Amino acid sequence: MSFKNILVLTACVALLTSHSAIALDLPSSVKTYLQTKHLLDESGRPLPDCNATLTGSGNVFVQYVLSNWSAMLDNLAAIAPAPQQQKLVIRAIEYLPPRDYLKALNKLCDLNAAGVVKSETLEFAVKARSPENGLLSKNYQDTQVIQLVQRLQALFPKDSKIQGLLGDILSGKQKAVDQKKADDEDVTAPVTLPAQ
Amino acid sequence: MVCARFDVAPREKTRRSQRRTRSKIKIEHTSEMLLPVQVTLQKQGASAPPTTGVLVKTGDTIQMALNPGLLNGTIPLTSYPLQTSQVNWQYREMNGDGTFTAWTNFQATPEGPEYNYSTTVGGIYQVQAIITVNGASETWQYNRQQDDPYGSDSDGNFNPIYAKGQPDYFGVVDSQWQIDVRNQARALLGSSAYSEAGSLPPIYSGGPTFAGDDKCNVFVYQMCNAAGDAPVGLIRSHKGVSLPPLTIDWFDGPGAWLLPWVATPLPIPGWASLGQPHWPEPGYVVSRPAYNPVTGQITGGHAGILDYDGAWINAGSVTVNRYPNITPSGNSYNNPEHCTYHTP
Repeated sequence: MSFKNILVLTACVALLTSHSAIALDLPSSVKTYLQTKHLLDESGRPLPDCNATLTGSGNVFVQYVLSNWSAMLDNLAAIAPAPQQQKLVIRAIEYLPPRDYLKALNKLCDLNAAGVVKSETLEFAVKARSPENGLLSKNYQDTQVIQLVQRLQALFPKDSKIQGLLGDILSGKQKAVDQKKADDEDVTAPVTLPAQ
Repeated sequence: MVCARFDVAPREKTRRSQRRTRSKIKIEHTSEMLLPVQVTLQKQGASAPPTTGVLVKTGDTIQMALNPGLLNGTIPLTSYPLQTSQVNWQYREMNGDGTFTAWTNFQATPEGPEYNYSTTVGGIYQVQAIITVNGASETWQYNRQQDDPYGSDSDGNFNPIYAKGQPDYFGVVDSQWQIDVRNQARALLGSSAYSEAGSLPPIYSGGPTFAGDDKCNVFVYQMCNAAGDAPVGLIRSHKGVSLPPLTIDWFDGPGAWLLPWVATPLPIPGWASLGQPHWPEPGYVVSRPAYNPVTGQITGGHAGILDYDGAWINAGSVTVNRYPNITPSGNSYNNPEHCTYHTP
């Protein structure tokens, strides 16, 4: 095999490798949303361009994420490499059914361990705003929740603030805090996870 | 300084592409004529154009000129190489949805390199000059001379409409309270006093500190009251705590609100909602809702105070900034926005 052929073969392998990393072919509207939008700088850090008739580009984006969240997270490095893009995805997965949401958080832990998701971004996910704010604390005795929180503890070994929060979740202390906040504001508390 | 270059010989088409930047004001008479052009505005009587934007009250006069030297006296009008007949001034006004009216001449006849305009109607305006030499015309818009230091949101995202070279505005208000409220708000730009993570001193004796809460509505409440001539009351009570108006009260528009205790916007005594299809003015309170992306319910919203150029002076999650703007600018703040103004 000539040196030239080796180069061609190497290029083909690189192409195939790169192709597998972007196996998820995003619709153009979702690509555009990820490339041009960022969370709004206001209460709840909401997704931009959502409306009451569910026709905004934000509504379309969330619907896509809810149907394709697992594949999107598997391909996160390729489709949303920047933290602000990842936060758009994270905000959208908060609307998943609770068990799927826990699976998604576990995938984010994997991605943090792999260096795809930064610790600050993972912390953002842990402090979900809506509608799953308080899901972990409310279900602190659930086996999946316990396993997830223990994983998170291992991923933030030197962050005393997040360790404090995670410890309070596991002890049940955070449940009372979140419940009081929900009561004060009359917001609907997260669901109680059904037994597995 | 940017110069307009015109051939002395007549040409049939505009030659905007031949603009160039010059380091200092210089007028040359060669085979071409280089005009030092930097459209400048200031309130009549001011010593220099303000760095915080031109904002006046109806009845005040705005001086506009093709060059700052014409306003500060370093370039006598008689030595500026354009005649009155060669310069037309135009304006257009911002609508409530961030679009603009059509460009309109200030006068039916050319005004010349320097023009004094006595304001009559409140609003937010852009200005441009049309220079015509030997049949060729160039348009010179009033533009920003520097990047807005407060044009980024709390995450550091800079709104490109605030970049140097982008169109600038002048604002006209109907009443002094609007200037007072706007100035109170501007004085806090860059502050983190209203950050979501922090807490405020109790807003009244024994009152809430809003620790860990979004405070955009508290910012609006306190700026209006600090101005002294546009008071806002504690119109809400929840769990025995008196509260300022929420964003939904400022929005005062239709929608299905998520929380039962805020389901209905409450009136704000002394203030009237204008809805959206209205020409906004600096000093108005501006607000809009935020929607749950799955159900379409309104889960909250945002409020701020309009600046001279359509910017919202608002308490973001960390800083008080000017990032949002009424104009559709690709930054997702062009959802339906409602303005509310203080009634005399």
